[in-house]
Amino acid sequence: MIVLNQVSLTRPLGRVSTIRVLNDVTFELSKGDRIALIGSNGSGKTTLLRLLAGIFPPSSGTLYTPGDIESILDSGFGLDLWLSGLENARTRLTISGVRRDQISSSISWIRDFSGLGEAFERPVRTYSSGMLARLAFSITCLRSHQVLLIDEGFGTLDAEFQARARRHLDVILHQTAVLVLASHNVEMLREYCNKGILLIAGRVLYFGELDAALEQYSVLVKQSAVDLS
Amino acid sequence: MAEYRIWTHLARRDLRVRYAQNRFGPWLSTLALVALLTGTSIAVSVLGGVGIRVGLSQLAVSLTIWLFFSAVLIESAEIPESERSLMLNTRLSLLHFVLRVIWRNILIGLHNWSIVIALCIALDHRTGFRTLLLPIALMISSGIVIGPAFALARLCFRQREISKFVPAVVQIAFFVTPILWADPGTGLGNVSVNLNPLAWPILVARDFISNGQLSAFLLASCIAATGVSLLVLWAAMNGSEKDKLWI
Repeated sequence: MIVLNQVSLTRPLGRVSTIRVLNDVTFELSKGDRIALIGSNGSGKTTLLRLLAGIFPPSSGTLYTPGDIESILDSGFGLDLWLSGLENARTRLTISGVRRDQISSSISWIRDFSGLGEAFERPVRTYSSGMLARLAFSITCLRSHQVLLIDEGFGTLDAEFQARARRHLDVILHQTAVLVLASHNVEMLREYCNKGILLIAGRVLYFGELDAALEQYSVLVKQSAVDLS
Repeated sequence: MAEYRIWTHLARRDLRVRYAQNRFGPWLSTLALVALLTGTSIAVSVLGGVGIRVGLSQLAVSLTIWLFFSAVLIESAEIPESERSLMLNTRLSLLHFVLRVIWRNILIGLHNWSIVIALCIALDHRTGFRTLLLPIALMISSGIVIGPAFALARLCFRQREISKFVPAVVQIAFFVTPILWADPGTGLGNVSVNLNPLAWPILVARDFISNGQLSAFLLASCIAATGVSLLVLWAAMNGSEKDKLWI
């Protein structure tokens, strides 16, 4: 389903200097895998998700991903702040390749599911971060995809919408082959994931059982806390 | 090109956003042309000692095409900054964004076309139908500018400061392009016309709309320039997917 073979990603910093963000990343994800992407800030989680989403190309190594991938990668979600939620939804659906005749019904669904009410017609710049997250989640999870990539879970969603989002996610995950969820919320990772990838300084330190990945990460966190003190 | 729905949608959306605060919508863009046209024709009339109506329709044609060229080049240079969020959240390629800029400015050009039609009808009824060439001239201009615009956008990923100089360079190009002046046929002016591909569609459209003459040589030059532009585009597309890493 998804195959990464010795994938590295180098980002330019200036005219001559570069930084290697991902280093020889190798793993294979199959249907049914629910991956928790674990690592400290700056370990390369978001970059890895962008690589899987096809936004960043690998600098070396080989990468295979299916075509039908959807992602929520940052709170901005590529939304145009001057447009309404409705217009932004229309744009994202067009970019995602939703057929013209299905856009109206999809927008109705997004409007209802997001619970934004009249705010759906207001410019997005007037939204709170929670409202933005509602809109982004509703657009992304409108339908199931072969691969779903989520960065930082539902951090800014309120309890009421979180419950609704989780119920809906349960439904669409039945038809989603692979989920990759990057988060620091252990409870959420345990709820949705069955495997873990521990990413440290752009390298995969562990890939396997979720509990083992979380345990290794907590050991590393304690170790670095000791080092700092 | 197969994903035309995306960039045409984004371009239309841009127009809605840009002119959302006023009741005229995209028609407000025609006011910019009217203001430029009025100011320029008054200046030319005072400095050149000619009647203000002389060459007004030609000037409108030239400015419509020039505004298209200048906007495409300046806005393409700004793509790495203005499209950052969408680039980091979607798989859209740089070509999508350049095509969006071009389509957006074609739509603005088509709004400006109404001013050209109105002027031609007001000043000379015979030239009215010839203004139909203007949309074709805009399409030809798109072909001429797409390669350089794409290459410029790529350059601006690596050298962000270049986008700050582009408006100044475009300003200089305005004066060496036959917009306020006609091809003298000899000397530096003629050299400037012969070596400046931005001038060719302007001259083709202007000559046809004002005199009904279609220069085969200039038309062939435009086609050749489009060919070169597409070659530049093809060459510049190689490795362009890695440009996002500079954001």
